[in-house]
This record gives sequence, C-alpha cells and structure tokens, in this order.
Amino acid sequence: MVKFLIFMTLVSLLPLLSSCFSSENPTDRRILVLLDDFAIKSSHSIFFKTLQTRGFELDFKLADDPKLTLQRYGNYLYDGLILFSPMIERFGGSLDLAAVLDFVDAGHDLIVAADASASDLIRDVATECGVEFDEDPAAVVIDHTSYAISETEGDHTLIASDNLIQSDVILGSKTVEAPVLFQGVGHTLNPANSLVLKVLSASPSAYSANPKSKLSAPPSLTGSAISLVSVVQARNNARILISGSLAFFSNRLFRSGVQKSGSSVKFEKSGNEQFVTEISKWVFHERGHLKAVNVRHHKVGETDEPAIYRINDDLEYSVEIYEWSGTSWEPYTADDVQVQFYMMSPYVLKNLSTDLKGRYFTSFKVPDVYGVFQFKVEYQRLGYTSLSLSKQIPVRPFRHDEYERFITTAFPYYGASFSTMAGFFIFTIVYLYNK
Amino acid sequence: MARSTTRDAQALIQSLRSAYVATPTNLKIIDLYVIFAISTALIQVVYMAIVGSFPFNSFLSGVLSCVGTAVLAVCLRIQVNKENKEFKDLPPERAFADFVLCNLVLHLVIMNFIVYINSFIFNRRSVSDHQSSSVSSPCKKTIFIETLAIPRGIYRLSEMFQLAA
Repeated sequence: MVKFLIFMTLVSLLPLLSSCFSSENPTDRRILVLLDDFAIKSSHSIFFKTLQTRGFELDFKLADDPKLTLQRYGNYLYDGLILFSPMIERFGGSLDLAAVLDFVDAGHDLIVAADASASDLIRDVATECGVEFDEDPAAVVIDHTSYAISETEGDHTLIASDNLIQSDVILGSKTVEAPVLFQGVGHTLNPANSLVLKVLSASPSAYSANPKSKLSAPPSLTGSAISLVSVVQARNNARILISGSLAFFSNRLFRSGVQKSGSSVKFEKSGNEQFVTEISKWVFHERGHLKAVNVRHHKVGETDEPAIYRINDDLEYSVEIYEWSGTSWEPYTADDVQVQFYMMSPYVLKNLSTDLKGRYFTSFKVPDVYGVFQFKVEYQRLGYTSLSLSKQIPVRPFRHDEYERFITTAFPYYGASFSTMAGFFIFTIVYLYNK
Repeated sequence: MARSTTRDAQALIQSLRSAYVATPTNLKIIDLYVIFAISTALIQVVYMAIVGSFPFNSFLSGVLSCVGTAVLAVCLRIQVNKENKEFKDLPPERAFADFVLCNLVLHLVIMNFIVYINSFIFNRRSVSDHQSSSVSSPCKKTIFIETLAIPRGIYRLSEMFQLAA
C-alpha cells in the first residue's frame, strides 16, 4: 500500500520533471558541447558562462569520448549541439555525420566552429548544411587592408570586419559598434541556396590562402564572396551557425581591443562578445521564433465557421501570430502578413491588419468563381521561422432561387410581352363583337 | 421619264388603297393587330441593339411573343378570308378558336421563359449588378423549365449565330 502511494506521488510529479524543448517552450534547454580537449572549456569560458546564465544546461564532452550518444531509445537527450572540435577525425561513441544530420533534421539546432586545418569530418558537416570551406586545408583568410592592428607584425590573418548582415532579428536591435575580430578559414555559400545567409562576410580585399607559402596561382576564394560566419535556417526551422574560426568565440578575442587598419578609432573591446551573444540567442530560438494559432473565418455578421461559402459572400478571416521572447509568447507585430484565397492561383491576396495584440484580420468578398479554395498564409522573412498555414473551404454557386427576381434592363421585354397579351385580349373582344 | 415613274407609283398606290378599302372590316382589324405586334417586336430589337443583349432570354421571349402572335393572327386571316378557296369548308369560328388556344399556349410559354434562370440553360456570365435575393420561389419553376424545349432550342440556335458573329 505504501509502495503504491509512493509510486503514485512520483508519477504525478513526472510532468514537472520534463522541462525540455517542446512546442510550447521552443528555447533549447540541454546542449551537448563537444570539444577537442578541455582546455577549450577554459579558454572559451565567457561564452559558456553567458549560455549558462541564460538557463542552458551545458554538457561538456570530448569529441572522441566512446560513450557519446545523442539519443537513447528513440528520444533525443539534447536539444542543441555545439561542435567546438575542428580537429576531430571521427566522433566517438554512436555519433557520426549521419547522426548529426538526423539531429538537425529532427528540428534541433547546431553550432559548428571550424578552424585552420579543420578535419574532413567537420568540413563534411558544414557541406551538408550548405556551406563550402576552402579545399586547401592550410588556407586561412588573409586581408591586407582590413586586418586588426596589433603590436607584433602579424601576417594579417587576424582580421577586423564590420560587414554584418542587416537584421534586427538575427543580431539584436542594438548595433554592434566595434568591429568583430576573426582568425580562421573562410567559406562560400551557393547563391542558389535560399536557406543560408552570410552573417559576417569578409571585405572585398580579403582572400583565402596559405600565409606561409607564396601564392602560385590566384586564390579561388576572394572578396565579399567569402563568408566568415553564416547561418542556415532549415525548412523545419532548425537553425545552424557555421563559423570558420574557433577563436572567434574565445576569451582572448572577446576581451581584446580592436583597431581596424586604416581607421584611427581604437575600440576598448571588440564586438565579438555582443555579436556572439546575440547570434546565439537567435540560433537557440530565443528570438525570431513565430507561431500562428487560432485560424478563424466566418461570414460578416456571424460568429461560427460555415462549412461552405457561396460566391459573392462577404467573409472575415483572422489568425493570431505570436513571437517567442525567450520566456514567454509576445504578440508579433508586422504589416506585411498576407492571406491568399487560393485555388490553383490566388484569387484574392490581402494584407492582414493587426490589432497589435497578435491578432491579424481582414475581410474580403468571395470571388465570382466556385470550387474548393484554401486560405493560405505563407510568411517567410529573413531570420524568422516560416509560417505556412492553409485551410480548405468549398465555395458554391448561387442556388436557383438566389438570383435576382427582376432585371432592370429587361423591363421593356416584360412590358412588351404583357402589352402583347393585353393587345390579344382587346383584339378578341373587338373581333368578336364587331358588326 | 422620272415623272412617269412617280406617276406610275402613285397610280399603283392609289389602286392598292382602293382595293384595300374594299376588304371586310374583320380582316382590317386583324391587319391592325399584326402591325401592332410587329412594331412592338421592332421596338424591342432596336432597344436590344442599343443596350446589348444581356438578359438574352428575356429579349427572346419578348420578341417571340410578338412575332408568334403576329404569325397566329396571319394564320387566322388566311383561314377567315372568304376569297381563299382552300379554306372554304372551314368554319371561321373554328379558325378563331384555334387562334385563341394557340395564343394561350404561346403566352404561357413566354411567361416562363422570360424569367432569367442562369444555372441550367446559360453559360455562366459574371454579372456585376446581381444581388443575392432571399426571395424563395415556388418549386413549380423547376417543373416549367422542362417545358421550355422550344425556346431553349431557339436560344441555342441564336447563341450559335451570336458566337459565330
């Protein structure tokens, strides 16, 4: 009896224990961090500390730990993965390239940091996500006009860049004032790929080459085509951050001052910490995550949803869109959400107006075509999760008693036929009683 | 030369008029009725040419009522005319009864065809001045639709000409 009571209390407490990633709470909670060696844990401690103060549980493991596993019995143990192991040739345990890709396909987020002489495994992970690193393993990004000035005469591989993407969602509303320091390899994006974005790109004078050897041929990666840090937002709304430099996240670059060559302004602190904090907020779904609920439509003047509309009806459509703020769902405000009344092509395309509390609504007239239509909302904006809603509704033509009874333009014809009838009646009288 | 043609035309008209005066009164009444029906039909055709053929079946029914009753009156005139050898044995009352019955049928058909029924007969046209009317009509309208074979055939023919034109 006692055992039963203990069992029941424990079972009833179970829901409190699951505080993991769910659709009601999209921010990741448990993150697996894979390192080449534990020195990285201390050399990047500021970055990890900012993550932990935001509520993430970080699990540090060596990348070749033989007990590595991402899932057990079909459930994923982690909601996010950080790969700070650019030199690893083969992951330990049950982890491999396919397991990492399945993890992302299941909707979880990923941060990958490569570096000079990154291993093929890390390069393959990045290629599967849509970015191509330079094939030469010894190549790094060199920039002779936009490097960071330091006391020692360097080879201009530590570059200071301020070519940041213009997006408040990804990089936060406060602009990054100081240039961002970067030292590592560059990558390119396929221009046909619409899901990858360059967040930090190199200046037009940068190129990717081995700094220790003379250039025998012009470098293949040059200019602003080189991306230093990119993000990918997959179609299932998983977010991936790919950086060509592990030192980008390190305490050394966070704390150092920066002076860009060619400019006289010296900043006390580089923009790295602000940049990394803001972009990690975006990657782990603390910003820019939308949900659309409560799609409703009804005829003007009524409140319940009909099962079928008639042509030339007036109807109202409303949907509620919220944005996750990291802790709660806030109303999303924008003026470019559109609804389509769609059957093979949109017959009606209208902007939804908002009441600033998250409710978007509009009203329009059903077109003069009958068939099976869909209310479609397709919303894809830079940095936000994509919304794709559709609700089917049939539209019928007029019933035979819903047409106009009398048509104004036909009155002469009505008059003519009645006058003919009257004339016929008068004619019969006259004809019969004519002497 | 010109003067002789006008004088000939005048002589022709004079002779026609004097012959016409000699016709019996009831035939003149029938002629008047025919003229009235045909002129009503012509007015409708002119109106359609101005306004356009939008409720085409209403136009057809109006014109058909006029032309149909004119045709029936002409038949009556032929049968009643005493100078016509062909109908010597036909009593004029019988002819008049036929005329009345046929006119009744004609106007019955016209009354049903004049109503604008979109769905069954015509191609869908986008009508800008259509309002949804909540008047519920009796269901005998559906029964009458089935009796509209003749006007429907006429409409199909005329639509063929319309499309060809």
